[in-house]
Amino acid sequence: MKHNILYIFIVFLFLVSCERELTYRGQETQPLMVVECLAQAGDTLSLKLSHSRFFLDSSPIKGILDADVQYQVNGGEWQSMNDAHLSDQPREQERYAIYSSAYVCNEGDEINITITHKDYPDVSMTQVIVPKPIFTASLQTINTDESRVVYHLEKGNLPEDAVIQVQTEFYIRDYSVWENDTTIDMRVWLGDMICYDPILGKANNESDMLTAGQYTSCKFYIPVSAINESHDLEVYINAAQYIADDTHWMVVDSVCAHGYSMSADYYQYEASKDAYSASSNFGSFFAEKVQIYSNVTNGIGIFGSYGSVTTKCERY
Amino acid sequence: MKHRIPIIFLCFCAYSFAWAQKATISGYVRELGSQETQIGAAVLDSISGLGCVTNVSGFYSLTIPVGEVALACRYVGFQPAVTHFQLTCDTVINFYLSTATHQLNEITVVGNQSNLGVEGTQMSAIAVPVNQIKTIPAIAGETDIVKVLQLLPGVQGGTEGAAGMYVRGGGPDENLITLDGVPLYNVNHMMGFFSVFNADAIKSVTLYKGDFPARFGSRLSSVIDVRQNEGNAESYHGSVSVGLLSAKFNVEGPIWKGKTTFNISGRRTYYDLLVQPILWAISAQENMHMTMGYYFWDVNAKLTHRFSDKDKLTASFYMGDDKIYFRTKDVNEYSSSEGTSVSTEKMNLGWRWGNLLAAVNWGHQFNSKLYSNLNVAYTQYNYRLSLGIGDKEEQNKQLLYEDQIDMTYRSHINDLSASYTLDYVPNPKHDVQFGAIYTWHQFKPEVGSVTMKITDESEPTQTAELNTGGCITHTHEASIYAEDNWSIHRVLKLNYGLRATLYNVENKTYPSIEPRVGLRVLLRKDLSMKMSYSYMTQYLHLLSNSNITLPTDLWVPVTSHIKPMHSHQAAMGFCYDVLGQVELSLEGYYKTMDNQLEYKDGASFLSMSNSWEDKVTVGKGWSYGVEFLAQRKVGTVTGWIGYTWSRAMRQFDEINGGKPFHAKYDREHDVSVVVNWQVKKNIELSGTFLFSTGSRATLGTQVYYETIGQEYDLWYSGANEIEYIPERNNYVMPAYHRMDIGATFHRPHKKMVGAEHIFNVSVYNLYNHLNPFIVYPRYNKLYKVSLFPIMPSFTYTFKF
Repeated sequence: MKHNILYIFIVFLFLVSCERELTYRGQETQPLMVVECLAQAGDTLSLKLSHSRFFLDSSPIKGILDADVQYQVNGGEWQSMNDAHLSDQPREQERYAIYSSAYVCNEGDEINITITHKDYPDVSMTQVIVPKPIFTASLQTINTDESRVVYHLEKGNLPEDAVIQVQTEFYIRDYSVWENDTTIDMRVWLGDMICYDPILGKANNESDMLTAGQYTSCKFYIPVSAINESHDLEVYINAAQYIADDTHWMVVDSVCAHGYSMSADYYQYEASKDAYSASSNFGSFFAEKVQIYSNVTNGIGIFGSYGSVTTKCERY
Repeated sequence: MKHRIPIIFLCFCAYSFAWAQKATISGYVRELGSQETQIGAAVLDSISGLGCVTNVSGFYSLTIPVGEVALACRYVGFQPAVTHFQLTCDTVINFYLSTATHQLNEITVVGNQSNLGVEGTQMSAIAVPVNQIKTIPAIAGETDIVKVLQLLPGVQGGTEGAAGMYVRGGGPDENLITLDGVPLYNVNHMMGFFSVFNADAIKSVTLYKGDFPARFGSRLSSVIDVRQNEGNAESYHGSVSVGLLSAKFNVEGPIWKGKTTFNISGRRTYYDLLVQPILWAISAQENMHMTMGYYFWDVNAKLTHRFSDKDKLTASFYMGDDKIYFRTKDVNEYSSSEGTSVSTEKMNLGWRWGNLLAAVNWGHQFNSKLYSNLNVAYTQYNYRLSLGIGDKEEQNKQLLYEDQIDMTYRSHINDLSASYTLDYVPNPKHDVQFGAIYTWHQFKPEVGSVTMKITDESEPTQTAELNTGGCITHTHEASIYAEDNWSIHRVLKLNYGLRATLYNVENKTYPSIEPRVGLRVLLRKDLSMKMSYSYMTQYLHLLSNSNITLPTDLWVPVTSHIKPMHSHQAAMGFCYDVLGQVELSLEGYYKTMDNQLEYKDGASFLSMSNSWEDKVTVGKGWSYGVEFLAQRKVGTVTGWIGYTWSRAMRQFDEINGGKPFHAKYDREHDVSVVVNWQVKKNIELSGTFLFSTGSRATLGTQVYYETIGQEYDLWYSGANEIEYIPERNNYVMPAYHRMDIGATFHRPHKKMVGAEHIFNVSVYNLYNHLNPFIVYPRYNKLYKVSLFPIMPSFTYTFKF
């Protein structure tokens, strides 16, 4: 018994790491307005408005209902955006308020927004509405376990700092031959989903583990500044074999090709969100914390613009 | 003009005649008995007022006018030796100094080397006597050189207990830490809580924070020059220590008396052995086999052979390893109508890292003014993280099913280097050092592999393997340098030098010319003003995620995309000697650094999908500060008080919105007090007190909901709670402070002459202040984790 007590004492002495509540001695930062506004040519201008709270404060976050939201298009007159109540919930319980206008955005519009409220610092933001992307896509089957989607992108009137996101969404069929006909349970490791850029001469790749019979998608970003007048992009979908000795036939029947043009602000916001999400997963203890990008002066959130085009192409 | 020519000729003749009336005294300074050479000992002729300092081989050369000479030799911790003689021609005098330890009534010199201080040109450098290091209290009684260096002004530790060093706003990778002149990459044991230096094997430690002599390069912020003992040339000596955490030994002696000596020391922690009985008890209760533990071991060795007084060959060796392991094996046996089935589940987690260093040095004295060192060295650092998981199912001893997944992640660096350095002392006004160094580096970072093996009774064994990384980078680094310590006048001394380096990687060559200059102006006999400027280049980066220095921190080279780091450092200071008792120094510095590397937001060494070059971003940094040091060098009470006020900033285009932010180790105030008191001949007391502004952390100070859950879907009904981070490293943790005390008792052995028992008792964190190791928010509250409460420890040493 004496020995056990000694061992426990030694372990306690050397391994103890105690957790205690710590009094925050820094300055209590003031809540800020949180704005989320994504504008697209052809859509009306609207935004979500809520607020942040001090991280040690447990009060709920609600929408800001009585803010003065003004917008200005191409240096014209300032106009108000009105509080729109769209959901079934009581307004007091909603996490955000929605302010909308009747204005339909056009490509190239420069829109300024200011928001004032007595409880929060005034915020302002600016955005230019980006045009929709111009592209075509075709699906080609290379062999039994490899397909290729070829995108032809055009620069059009997109600004140099914009980014095009290409998202390839497809359904996978796996014709692996198994004795007990357990094909549907077979998991396919998409080890080589490569996006090759012949002009830049470089490739990005993503990999995913999915069950045959599922939809999956992959997305790649191409800076507009890297696109000449026209641009080809090849996305290779390649079934790496989960077990080396097995044979897979992987067939992609059709793809949904989504092309998004994103303003530089919106791209930075999305990229920082991806990094934030990744850092919250495994290994977050070691990862540097991520600051989510914001172009809202004196506030938090994003005023971004985008344009989208979707096309479906069949295998041939 | 006609009249001037004879005058010039006469002057030239007079000058030549004057030189002809001089002779050179040269030799070595050694310890009496052991014949251990002493680095940085001062040799001074009190009649001419000329002096010099021994080099790393303990060699000195002094050219002075012939005639009456009163030559004195002084060195830290030793009684001075004085000799009077008539100098008529070149003479060899070897000094053998006797130790001054335990002689209370004598002057006990434990201060700086003589090329430092008021008289010396060198500023921003401190030599810490190893004897003092051994008495300073430490965690679990484990004496640690790096921990002591962290107590000096301008040097800050990372987080509590960690051995990472941050010198004048630089990163932990910007310190060149050499053992016998050969760089070591990871100087940490036990996740950084201890350093790899075993104090029993160490002869001297010198830290340079600025005013870098041209012989040093390859790092921006500091040089820590650690030299190992050569071993006693006359008789066998040694020690054996047992502490709460580790046991160690040291043995030294002659192989061939007076010619060949050895010195070997080793240590191992036994925490893993102590916890083993507890694990056995748990295993028995849970009906599973479990082993876990951590240990480190290291061995230092040095072999020295003196062919003659002019030729010496030394071989240095260091090897050390840390290992963390966790293994479980769960066996379940059950019976059914089909027979007896046994299922086995296994897991094996291992993490090991270590250094290997081997070096051979040939010291040759050409004549009384020229000494050379030829050094060939190999150094290696590697770490490996592995995880193995396996399942097995057997029925009636027939295998039904077995699967095994093994994952490894490893990195390593190999360096092979050769250097040839010369020390030339043409006259007392000049001490010239020059040389050439070539290093071949091999980097293999982030090598990952996953192997899977499945065996089924009805199927053949199936295997799959996935490998990532493994890209080997070879680089070549070649440098030449020359420096001169020039005594222009009694008042004015100048150390100037130039270092030229070529670094080749991936068919790209980076050249660098690095000027160094240091000036000392003696304002009074006891007061000097010093100024210095250093330009440094570094071709290595350490990618580090967190405040704690981890073995997983990745050493990576400069590449064709990642450029070398450069720094400019200017410093100015005053040094004042108070009655030969206390030395005061006040220094201010300003340093800029470019091509600094940081992980991008969200990046981690664990994300293996991208290469390290894709995970980092390049920026710049700058730091400035004022350092004060009051150091008592003589008497029974010695020690120092240090204070630093400093700022360290960083700026990266891709971090913090491109705005400047505080470096994570930026601490505004730092105070340290170190006291050693020799109460009696056989009793020493010591204490340290440390106070510093808390280290920095990135803390989300606001929380909000982000509702654009799906791209382009503003009306997505979900919401993610997001931390709003106003600035990287925005939060200053509570101040760090701690007091440690220790006592050492010496008791002579009754039968063995010269042998003694040494008992050391120390208390780490005397008033049990729980300093934060990390802080984090959870459920609207802020929490801290502290590692080390009050920790008493005891060490017993038998020395013979």
